[in-house]
Amino acid sequence: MKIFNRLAVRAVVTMSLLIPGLVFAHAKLTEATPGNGDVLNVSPDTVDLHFNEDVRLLSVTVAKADGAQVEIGFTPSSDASMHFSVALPDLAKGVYIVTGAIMGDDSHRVEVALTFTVDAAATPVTNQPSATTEHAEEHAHSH
Amino acid sequence: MSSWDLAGLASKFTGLCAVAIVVGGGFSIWLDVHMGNPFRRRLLSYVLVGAIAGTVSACLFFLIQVGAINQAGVAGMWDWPMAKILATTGLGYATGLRVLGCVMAAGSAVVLSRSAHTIMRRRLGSVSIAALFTVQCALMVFSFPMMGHVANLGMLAQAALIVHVLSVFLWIGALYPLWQLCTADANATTHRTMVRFGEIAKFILIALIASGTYLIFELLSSFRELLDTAYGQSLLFKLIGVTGLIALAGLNKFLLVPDLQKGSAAVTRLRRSIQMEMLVALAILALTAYFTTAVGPPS
Repeated sequence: MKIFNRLAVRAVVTMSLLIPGLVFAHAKLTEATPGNGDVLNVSPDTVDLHFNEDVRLLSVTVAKADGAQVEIGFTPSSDASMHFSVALPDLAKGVYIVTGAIMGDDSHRVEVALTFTVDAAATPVTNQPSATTEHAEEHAHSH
Repeated sequence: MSSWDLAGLASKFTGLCAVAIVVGGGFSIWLDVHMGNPFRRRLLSYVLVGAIAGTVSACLFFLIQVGAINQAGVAGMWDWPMAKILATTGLGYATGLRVLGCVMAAGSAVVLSRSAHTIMRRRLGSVSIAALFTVQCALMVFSFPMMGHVANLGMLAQAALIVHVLSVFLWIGALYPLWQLCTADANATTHRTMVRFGEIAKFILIALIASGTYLIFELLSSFRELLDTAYGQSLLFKLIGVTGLIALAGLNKFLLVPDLQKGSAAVTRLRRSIQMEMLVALAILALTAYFTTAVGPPS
């Protein structure tokens, strides 16, 4: 019985060494400014995106709610980073949808999206970063 | 799921089948060096088909990712600057390795189909073929941990994935050649090959189960995730399929292969069983392609 117990303890210790903690498998958006659902009185200068790991930002598009594209002149780069700042032109009043594609170390393509509103007359709304992340990210990992 | 995701899924499934064909086909040639030339040529054609399909599917998968990022229709697949960026990621390196392995496999299949008899009779020739086969297999299986969920994990998990995919492909890819061997004129050579495969398959099975179990522990943080998450449930379905595959393999090894020399009815039974094994194997590969593409482990 002692031998059995000793083996059981060793097995548990070995397994605990082998099994890692919680696995975070994919790159994801952790914070964005403006946040998803934000209402701003003035046009933001940039969209700032923060991720949980180094990613390559492969595409970013900004469009109005009616589908009209906003020219932002984004150029993809092979440089990986956790933070990206994308310059925006002066935006008129309206609802804007930002979409992008990122790729982390696992080579999964993950699509991110967030919506914000520019309206000088509206009451400003700023969402918490965590809430923004949850709602902003869409999984479309491909591979 | 977008049409890009579906296209990626299809090319991934084709790629898995193709690598299985190349690895398992090469293994089958090594398995029975005394096989006749006509059968060896058929196996080499099998490897060639796998190598071509592997090359095409790997390139296609890469281009589909380019197209999916651009969201500009099929024309978006040919965006050279984006392709250059993706070439520097794990996806690019994995595609390169897999294409290199497949091209080498295609080249050796063509050369061997012309002069296999001469080469295989010489010891140096057969050793060279075994070495070439090993290099090709290494290139292909080493591409797997470069992308996907295991890419973010430690060296041990990546090594486990290499062992896992190698075991799977050696087994699954050898099923078609074994099925081809079960013809009406099955003879002592057929029986010997089946027995040899059964002996080696024991070790393949141990490696497969050990590495697979370790990977499950790595990818899931609790047993509940196996039941409560889409990824866990897909894994569970895969495990059911693998259990079925192991059951069929046991049936073949312990009941059907020993009876093989008793007549054509026994050969037919083994042929049907291997056929069933191939169908289950295809379902497992399809499921693997699906849950590694569309689901992903819980985070």
